[in-house]
Amino acid sequence: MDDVIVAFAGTEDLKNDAEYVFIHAFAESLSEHGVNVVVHPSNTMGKESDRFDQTSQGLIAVNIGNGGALMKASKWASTLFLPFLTSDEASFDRMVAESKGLDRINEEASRLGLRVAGFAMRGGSLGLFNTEKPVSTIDDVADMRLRAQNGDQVTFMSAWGAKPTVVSWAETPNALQTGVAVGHYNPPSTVVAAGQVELLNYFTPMNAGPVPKVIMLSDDWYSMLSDEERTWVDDAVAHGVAVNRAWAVEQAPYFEQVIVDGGIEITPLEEGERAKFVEASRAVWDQIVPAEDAAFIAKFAD
Amino acid sequence: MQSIATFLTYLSTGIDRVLRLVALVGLVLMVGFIALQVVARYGFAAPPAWTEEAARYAMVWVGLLGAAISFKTGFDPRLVKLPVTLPRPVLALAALLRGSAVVVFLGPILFYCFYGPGMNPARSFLARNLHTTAETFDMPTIFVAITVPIFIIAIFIHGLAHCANALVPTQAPAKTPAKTPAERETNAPDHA
Amino acid sequence: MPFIPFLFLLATLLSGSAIAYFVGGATIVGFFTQDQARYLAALPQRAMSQLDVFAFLAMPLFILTGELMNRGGVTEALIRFSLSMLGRFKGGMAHVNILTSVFFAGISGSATADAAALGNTLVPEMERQGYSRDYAAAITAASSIIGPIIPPSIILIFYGALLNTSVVALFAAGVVPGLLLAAVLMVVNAILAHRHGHPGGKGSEIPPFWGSLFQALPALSLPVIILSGILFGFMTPAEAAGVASLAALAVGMFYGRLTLKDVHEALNRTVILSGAVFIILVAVATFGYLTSVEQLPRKLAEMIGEIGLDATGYMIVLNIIFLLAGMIMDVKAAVALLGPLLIPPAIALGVDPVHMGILVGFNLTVGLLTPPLGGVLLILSTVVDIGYWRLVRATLPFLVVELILLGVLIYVPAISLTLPRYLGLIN
Ligand code: NA
Ligand code: NA
Repeated sequence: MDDVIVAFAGTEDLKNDAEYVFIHAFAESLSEHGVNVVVHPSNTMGKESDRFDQTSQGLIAVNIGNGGALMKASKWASTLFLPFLTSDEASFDRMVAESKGLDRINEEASRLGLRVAGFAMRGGSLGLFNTEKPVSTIDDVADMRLRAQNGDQVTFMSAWGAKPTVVSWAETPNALQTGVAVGHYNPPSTVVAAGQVELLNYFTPMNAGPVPKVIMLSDDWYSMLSDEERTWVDDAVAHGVAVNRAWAVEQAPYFEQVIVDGGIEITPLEEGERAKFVEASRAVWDQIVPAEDAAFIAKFAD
Repeated sequence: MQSIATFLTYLSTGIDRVLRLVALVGLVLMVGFIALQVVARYGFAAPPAWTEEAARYAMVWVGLLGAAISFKTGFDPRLVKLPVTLPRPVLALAALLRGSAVVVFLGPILFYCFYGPGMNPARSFLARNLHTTAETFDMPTIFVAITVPIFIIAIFIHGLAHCANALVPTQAPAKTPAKTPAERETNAPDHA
Repeated sequence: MPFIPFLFLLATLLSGSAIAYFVGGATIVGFFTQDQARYLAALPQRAMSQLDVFAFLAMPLFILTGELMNRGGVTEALIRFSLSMLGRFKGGMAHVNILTSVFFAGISGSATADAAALGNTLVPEMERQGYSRDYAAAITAASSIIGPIIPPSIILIFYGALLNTSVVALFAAGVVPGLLLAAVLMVVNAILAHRHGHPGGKGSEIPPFWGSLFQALPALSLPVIILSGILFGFMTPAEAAGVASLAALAVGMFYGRLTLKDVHEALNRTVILSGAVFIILVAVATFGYLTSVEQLPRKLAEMIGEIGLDATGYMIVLNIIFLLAGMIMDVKAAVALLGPLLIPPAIALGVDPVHMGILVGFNLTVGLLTPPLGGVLLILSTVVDIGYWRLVRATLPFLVVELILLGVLIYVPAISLTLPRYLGLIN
């Protein structure tokens, strides 16, 4: 079997990079069958849209992409990324399995020669970071200028009563410095990886869901494999995902410790406040995805 | 030959006019989207999410069409400017080499706009962009992707028109749009 | 050894091909000779996505701002204001030249734009006052490179986007080195003015300070909008560039100088300049892709690791490479081509990426003043109508001083890093 070309955005850091934890275990598993894996880290094969496109053409065999890139090819994929759908990795995996979510995504993604094999978890659950004040109730975010990643985030942040503003991730540190935005919606692991610990002052854990990175395989590449080789790859993906999950669970407290040590105060939500965020967010699910999809996935939500 | 040269010049000039107009509109839109983004952030309750992405797409239009306009104007910076006093065969060889650089660089890119893996047009760059949509608004990215073949085809036509005119030296070339002195600058002669 | 692509590069370069096309063409040949031709299929996407970068938005918008400023009388108002302050000193008009470049720097991000604009307006004025054309052109060239050091700066925007470094921190880091450069040039000018008896300002037409300040107020509002907007305020660099272009339009109309035709020409020229820049970017990205497919950055990093250079040693090597690159290459092409390849190893060795950005910017802009291909020299010798090599000789004393200053900047990172640290932009 030829060398397997793998590309991703992060660095080859087994301690902090969730995607590389998956890739490393994936490569280890394949090496048992004498298969060599060539890793292109740090966007050297191009940014999200480029790696996505090259995977679609079979130039990259395995790409770890973000949810946004996947949604460009599969509208249905947005459904799995709705806010407050699940609270942790285990319930996300259960929801994907029970809803047969991957099949629906692959139905759409196969038009572009892609096959989503699963997800690599970033570690930890989504919450709200800000520079301004401790947030422990939904009223605290009223009129807060939050950085939104995209229109979907604008929709649910508005539903919380905040004032979202779209800022690209590259500009977010500047936006936090200058007050263009005072906070954003992410897990601690992302803030640590982006080196933003010193820029932020407060973190409110919301258990709004894990952060899945998308494991995309090239259809061209996968379908050219022999049956035996395909089993190796499937096993390697399964092994990589398992190692990633164990790492994510183990690392979540570590990332929280890093942000606390870096001077970020953790301010938990008061009794009953998470329910208000859940309610406000769920009320706009059908503005983010088609109403029937929202109703469908709600059956598998926590 | 004569009529081909006239036709190509006419075509090249016309394309240049259209591209200039579109690029100009793109630039104005870019400024507009960015200004709207600033105004909306401080003025509106829920600022539109699409301004940044729209401005970026307008920039792709401006940048790639601008490349074709810059080519036509002969503005692209170069390192060597050959003296016109060189023997004719040397100059002809140089022109051939300049043309080959353009074709070798842009030819494969143009080819893969229309063909995908396994020479399949259904999986070409353009076809793939029929199936992907912008992130913040509902528009297939084909409306951005289409600039890639457009700017390359425009450059090829400009180059061909220039070659054809070089082969018909007696006839004065058809009117080209008046250039401002600033545009003429140091790199006035064409590439191909 | 990639002999054939290199041969193609050399042949097309010598034939007078534009930079974008011989770099791009030779790279495509390289894909074939390195047996990586299948990756050519990714190129249409890369051509599009290479331009689809938020941080790049600032570039065409700052170019537009400069175009509107020149046509709308903003540049002229800045010159008059500088003259009112410095016209009375010996060598005063040369001081004005430097100071105008400082103001210009706060608005424009490009040395060649500064050189073209001031070469057009200030050099004839200096000659009229009795300066030699050589000296007038030389001081214009030497001070034009303040432009990309003091923010905004197209080079630093580029660096920030390509190397994932905060553009705001880079901008803050450029302020002190840029002002220092201006101060050093003024000292050199004062010495030369006294030694060679340059014209002083006694009795010559010095515009009244308050009058010209009043006249320049709208023009001065432009750098204030941009700098405060980005550094302390409420806008990203791209947004500040967009607002600045609208402000330049408004100020130009306030001065009553900007016609619809001017605006049309400014837009037109911005499109052409952006196009020329972006096609170079596409070519360079194509080359960058080949180096990635071939895993060159990794190999280079491993090689440097094997040589075992320490941070200082690597920095010296790196600075020499960038200085050489600035001499022969387009500045933006040099950053795009060499930055992602050479800078990550330096950062791994503990060099601050923001400090590195200032050094790279300074290096490359000094390269604009060195033959054979110094961009500022090429443009000025055309605009001012002076022999290329004569201009090179006249600029030499300033060049030497600037190289010494570069050495100081390398060894004293605090000059660059204190302001961004104070503003809390870096640790
Ligand atoms: Na500047
Ligand atoms: Na100057």
